[in-house]
Amino acid sequence: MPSQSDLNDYGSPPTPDQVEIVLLGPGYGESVVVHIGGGNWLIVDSCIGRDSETPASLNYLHAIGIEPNSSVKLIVSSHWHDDHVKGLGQVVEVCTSAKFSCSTAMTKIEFLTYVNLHERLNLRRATSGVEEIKKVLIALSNRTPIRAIENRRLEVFEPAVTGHGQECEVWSLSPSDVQIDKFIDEIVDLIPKDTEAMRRASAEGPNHVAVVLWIKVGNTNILLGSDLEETGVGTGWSAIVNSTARPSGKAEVFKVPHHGSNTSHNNDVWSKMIVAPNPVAILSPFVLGSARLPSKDDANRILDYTDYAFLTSNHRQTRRTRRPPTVERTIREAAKSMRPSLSPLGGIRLRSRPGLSQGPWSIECFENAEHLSQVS
Amino acid sequence: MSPSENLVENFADVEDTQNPSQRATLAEEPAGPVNLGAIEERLRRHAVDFYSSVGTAPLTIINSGSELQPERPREVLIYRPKQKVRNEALRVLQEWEGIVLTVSESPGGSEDFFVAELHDLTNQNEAESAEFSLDEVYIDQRNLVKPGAPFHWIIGYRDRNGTRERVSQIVFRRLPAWREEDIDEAREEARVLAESIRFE
Repeated sequence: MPSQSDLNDYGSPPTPDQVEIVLLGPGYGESVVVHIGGGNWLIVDSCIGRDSETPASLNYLHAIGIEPNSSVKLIVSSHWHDDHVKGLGQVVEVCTSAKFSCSTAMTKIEFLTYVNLHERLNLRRATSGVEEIKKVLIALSNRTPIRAIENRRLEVFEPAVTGHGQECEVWSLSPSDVQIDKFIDEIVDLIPKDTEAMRRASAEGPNHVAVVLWIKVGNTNILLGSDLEETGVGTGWSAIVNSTARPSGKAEVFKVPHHGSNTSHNNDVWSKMIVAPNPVAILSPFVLGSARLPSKDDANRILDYTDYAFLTSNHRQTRRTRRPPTVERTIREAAKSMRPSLSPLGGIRLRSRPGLSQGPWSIECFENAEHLSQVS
Repeated sequence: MSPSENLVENFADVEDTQNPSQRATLAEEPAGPVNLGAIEERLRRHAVDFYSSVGTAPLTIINSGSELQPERPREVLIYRPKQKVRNEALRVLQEWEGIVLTVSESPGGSEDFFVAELHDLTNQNEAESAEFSLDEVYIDQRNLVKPGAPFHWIIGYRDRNGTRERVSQIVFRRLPAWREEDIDEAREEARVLAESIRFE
């Protein structure tokens, strides 16, 4: 259960006929919570906010008075990276009414071998995403997961249950078989060789198998881009844009992939899959050492497509914990820089009633969330 | 000149060696008629006294006569350092468990650094990330600085022999290597787990 401090003032839940999308992000990690109508919720990925031990998605639902165990109908794990799976095991455990979907890449023997090896490293606190994935996969042996592959309808909600009388479909647009094979080749290279010293698992290389979701509620479409990057012809975003089997239409809401990086950008996605002008673009930042996404250039590029672009968290405002003067003095001498990995959990919430073409979407920002133009 | 006449001897300095840490040597003396018997007796008495006090076996006493070697006799090493009581303590003020995330190496190595994820073991605060110069890592451990490598960063005071110094130590764990059996076992567990998951 979340503690009192986990429960930000998020107000009341959406009405049964409203569609709601909430992007939560503490500066490292993200989670998307979607209400498709009629009290039916989806959770995509998981993160844990600063000063919390419970997943941000569960905290949000509790804060607005929703019981996750009966209301969440689908959980999607888009990929295995640490910043997208923290707390996912707990989400799967709590949401007992939910189906689970992930790419089959995460159940391949090569990937599971990699997971099994790295979970043996006995670290006190610096655990990685592989431990979380293992928990989820063990839980799945008691459920029947849904395979997320390109152009597959994962779930459908009939008009009778959606509260607004529109049918809702959830589609995965990736990964393709080609992408899964590429991923397995890379994972095989990452499996340690004997006589190689033990190290913690680290995500390396581009995201070939990230699951991109298309949510269709009546005539309203939502594109959740996960962390998929552009990796060349026939893979990545090019494969999705050029697919003739994907759902038709253009999205009004775009969860920008991979924290707005230029490696995930594809012009055709914006021109062929997103409404114009002024769709709503939402994204979470990524900060690791001196690496920061989105950069100012990334932000400007996104703002060329829409004025309605929002970021869940801004690290400018983050202060790390102050320690005794002797320790602080030594930190300044020994480390070139030091910062908290997480900032206070920020959230962007969008609400609309489906059937009204192109909005209007109400947009609310919580905690550190702000307009993308504030990125420096 | 006979070998005995070339015997290097002079125990004037040996008589000062009541302290076992002093070294007794056979010093040279200008060649000339010498009383080998007296010198040998003094050497023998000294060796017996000293080794009795420390309880170890005596060195071989070089005898006069035919056993004398014409070359310069070896030094008689009876050095035994004084046992010192170590008075040292490390008082830890702050400790983190860290994982290397990235390593950046510049040509020439002048700006090599690594970025690490840090977890506070002292106060259980939130995770942090930090950037360190590779110079902060002891040279013998730099080959351990690789993505995924765990380490401890300790800040504290070292008290030693009545003095105090503030220290910052980055210590990498020398983890065992993966064994082929580990990999085979992990692969078998993976196979069992994969078979237990049934997709719709």
